Amino acid sequence: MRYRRPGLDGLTHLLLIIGVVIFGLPLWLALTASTHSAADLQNGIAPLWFGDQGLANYWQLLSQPMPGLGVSALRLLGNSLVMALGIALGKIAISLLAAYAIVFFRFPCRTLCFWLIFVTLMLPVEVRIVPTYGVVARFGLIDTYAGMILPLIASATATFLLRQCFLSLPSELFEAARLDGAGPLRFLKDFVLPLSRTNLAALFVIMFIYGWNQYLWPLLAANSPDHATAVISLKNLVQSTDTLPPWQLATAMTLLTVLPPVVVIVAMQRFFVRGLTDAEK
Amino acid sequence: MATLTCRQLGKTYKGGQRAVDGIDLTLESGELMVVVGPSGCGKSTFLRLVAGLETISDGELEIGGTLANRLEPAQRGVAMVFQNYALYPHMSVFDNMAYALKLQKRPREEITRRVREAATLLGIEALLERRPRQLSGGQRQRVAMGRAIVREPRVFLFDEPLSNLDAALRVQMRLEIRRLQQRLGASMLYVTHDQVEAMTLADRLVVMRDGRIEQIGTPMSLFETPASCFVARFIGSPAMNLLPVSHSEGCARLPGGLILETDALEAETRADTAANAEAKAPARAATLGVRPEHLRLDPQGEFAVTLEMIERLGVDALAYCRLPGLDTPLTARLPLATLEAAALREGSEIRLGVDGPLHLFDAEERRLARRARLISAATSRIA
Repeated sequence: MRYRRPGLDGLTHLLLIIGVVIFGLPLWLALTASTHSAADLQNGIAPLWFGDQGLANYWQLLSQPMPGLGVSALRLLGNSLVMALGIALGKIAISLLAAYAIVFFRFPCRTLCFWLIFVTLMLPVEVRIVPTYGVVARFGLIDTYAGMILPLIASATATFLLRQCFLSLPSELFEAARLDGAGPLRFLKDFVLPLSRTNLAALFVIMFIYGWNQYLWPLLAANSPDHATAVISLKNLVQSTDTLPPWQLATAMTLLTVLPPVVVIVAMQRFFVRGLTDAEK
Repeated sequence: MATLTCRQLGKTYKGGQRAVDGIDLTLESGELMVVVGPSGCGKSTFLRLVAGLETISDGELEIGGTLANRLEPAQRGVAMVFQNYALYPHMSVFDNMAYALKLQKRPREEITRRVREAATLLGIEALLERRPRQLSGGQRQRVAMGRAIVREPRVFLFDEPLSNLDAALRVQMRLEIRRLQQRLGASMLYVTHDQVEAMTLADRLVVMRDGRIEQIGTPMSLFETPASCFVARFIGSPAMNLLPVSHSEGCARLPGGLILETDALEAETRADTAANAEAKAPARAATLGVRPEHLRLDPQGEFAVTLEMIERLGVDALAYCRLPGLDTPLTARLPLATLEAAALREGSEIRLGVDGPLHLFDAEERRLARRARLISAATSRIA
């Protein structure tokens, strides 16, 4: 239902514009600040328009080791990418199998299993950080990608979402496939995956951003700069004790860090739209 | 040669609910057997037991001479057409039909050939590249059948395949299924709740009730000699008139006082005349059945009734009449022309005569005799 009232239209647009300004202004300031020299930013007042040091700043960021960490920005972004991809794909793989088992198999304590998985919603990494660190340390996984990824790849949210998605598949489909001779794994590959690909794409976006934004766990699990992530490097950049923070580099790095999730969302948006218009189920 | 044999086949669900109970039947090769019954009678569960989608609790299932109780669905050599077709939405029509063969790792040329043959048989060659959602209901139905045909199964299973189609298409597809079955010489087990479908398609008809077989036989034998009131009500449209009577020695006494003498029982136990049947005892509660088609307009007819409503069907009309002393209406199927000629309308007093067999059922609603004919009728003096 759509309301057509000119007064209301003006009001909604005003609200939307205010919203855009609130969300956009910090990004704009980061963008403009990243094009000024360090000296320009020393007075602490953020310039509202571009300076002339843009290329130099980004070049310095990408070509030289990051001050404070001694690792290049590309390495940091790469670490973030590995961690975010590992977490997103790992979460999808595990919750896909879990949801598949819960929906399509009749085994004892099926409902109990589902609720046990569901309860872990209340145990995010921040709550179980000490025991998790202990386990990862004993496995010798500190300062490895595996140690950064593995503790985060079980996901109750994704399991629940996929369970709902699988439940919406008609049971006759499963039965017809069984009569055609498709075993469980074949059914998963030939039917469940293609029919839930829009949901999987949505999950991937959410989980990639979740993984990319991780701060606390990589801070603990990755002690060496070699495994530091882009998000962690931001804090290191503005935390210099003896000199003023290199604000032009910090803002530039912020923008570079924001970029990959945006790319993922834009790339995956195609699937969402298709998922909404394409009534294949 | 029997393609499928069930011996005391039964299914009990976890909660103790008995869905299918002691089914004994044999599907001959090339036979189309229709299982019919009201919803919840266990007919679909029975089909799923045969398909292997439900585990068999007891009894034996033999398909093509081998015990199939524990075989996987794909190994039983059965193909099923589902009520909502269950086409694979993300595959083209060709892939839908080829899927089973691909899993059997058949050579590509053979798959293409068999799919094309089936498509030609069903007239869907032009649709092979389409997706299921681009098809109409009738086309989807054909694809679903094509998917079954391609597998060349020993037994085809149909689970109410026509109930999602509109009336005209249903008739057309019904004929097509019959034609296809004869052309392929296929053995088919066909479940439906629609008795017209059942009557027209079946070589043999199985009427199920509460998980058991009520009667099994050719459609006409079920129509002519229903084994119980249940079958009598279920087979034939409009349903058979079933009137409560008290019955003794071949005479049925209606609540209104009308007494009908029949040859339902042996001659020696029959009363001499209808009139003195009252003197004889003891009378038992029974049910008298007469088909609407076997009632005709007759000035000397046995039933004096009030015409309550007329439904015109075209050539015929259904006359719903009230028999004095009875709550259930008496339905007669009369030629529309005679109704019009007699200038009958709602409220007219008319007489109906019996022109066909009568059916007598005992208090347990079981059939009393093979065949009953009306001999004479009289109205009781102490009515």
